[in-house]
Amino acid sequence: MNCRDELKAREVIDLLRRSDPVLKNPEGLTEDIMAAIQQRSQRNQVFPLLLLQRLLAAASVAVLLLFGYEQYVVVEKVTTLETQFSVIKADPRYSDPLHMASAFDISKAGISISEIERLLSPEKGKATLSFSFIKKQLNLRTIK
Amino acid sequence: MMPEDLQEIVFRIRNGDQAAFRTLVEMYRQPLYRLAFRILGNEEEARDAVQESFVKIWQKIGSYDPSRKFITWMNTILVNTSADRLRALRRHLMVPLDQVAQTLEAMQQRDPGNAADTHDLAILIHCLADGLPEKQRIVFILRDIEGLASEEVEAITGLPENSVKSNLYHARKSVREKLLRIFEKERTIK
Repeated sequence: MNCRDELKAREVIDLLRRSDPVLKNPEGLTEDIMAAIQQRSQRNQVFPLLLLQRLLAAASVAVLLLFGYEQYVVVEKVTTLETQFSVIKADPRYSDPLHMASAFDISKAGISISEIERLLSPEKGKATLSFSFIKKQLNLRTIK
Repeated sequence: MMPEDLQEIVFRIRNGDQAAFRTLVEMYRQPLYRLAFRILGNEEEARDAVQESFVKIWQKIGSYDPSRKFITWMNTILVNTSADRLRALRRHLMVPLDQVAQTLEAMQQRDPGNAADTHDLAILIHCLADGLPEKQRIVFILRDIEGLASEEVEAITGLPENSVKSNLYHARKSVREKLLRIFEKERTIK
């Protein structure tokens, strides 16, 4: 590039620097910008409400699922217990409290069969001792 | 406008004052439009870039660091927005050299007091800046056309000093080569 062209190139850059592109309808641009920020502000105000609404919906679904699961677990346990109870009830071995007592580790409880027999002795008028009474007695012995 | 006034406006905008924001838009719409136009070389795109940038300024005003120059911060947003648009456009206006030479002559003959013809300016910008890599284009426009200081160009682009210098060097070289071709064409026409 010769000196003449160099100068001319500088003039062109200068011309570009001095030339100010004119913004057409500047008021319209201002209004567009203000409308856009107002729209954003309104959206920002609505956003927390929407978020809360969605969170509440999600929480209620979670509570419903938890309730359903809990019901399933409880019903299953109750059914199992009912089945076990009906089986035990039908078994003649468990109708005699003495047989029930045999279910425990008598030796560990430190109580002899004769002692249990004494406790259940009809002579003492305690022929209908409950299983819970025997269990209580056994527990007391174990603790001692 | 005194810097204190601008600080007051910025403070009010940070508190959600839309009237203060309108004042800011009225103050800076023309300089931001000029920069956007110089980067994009298209009236509509420049207008949209300015609008998008002002919306971003409103949204991000809370993250503005007052230790930085506010105008530099605004220019950074505008340059990034324009660069995104430039990438999305990916089209280069192929202007014949003889048309550029005629446009240049017409611009030089025009009264310097008169406003430039936007179409002529767009042709010249496309001719000189199209084909330049994005960084070179932005650094060249900020430094040589907008006339900003190197430190300001570094702050706006986020490029280190040596990178700004090398991008500017390569951009100037390409622009000169293009101008030389235009001048040669001009001589053949005459």
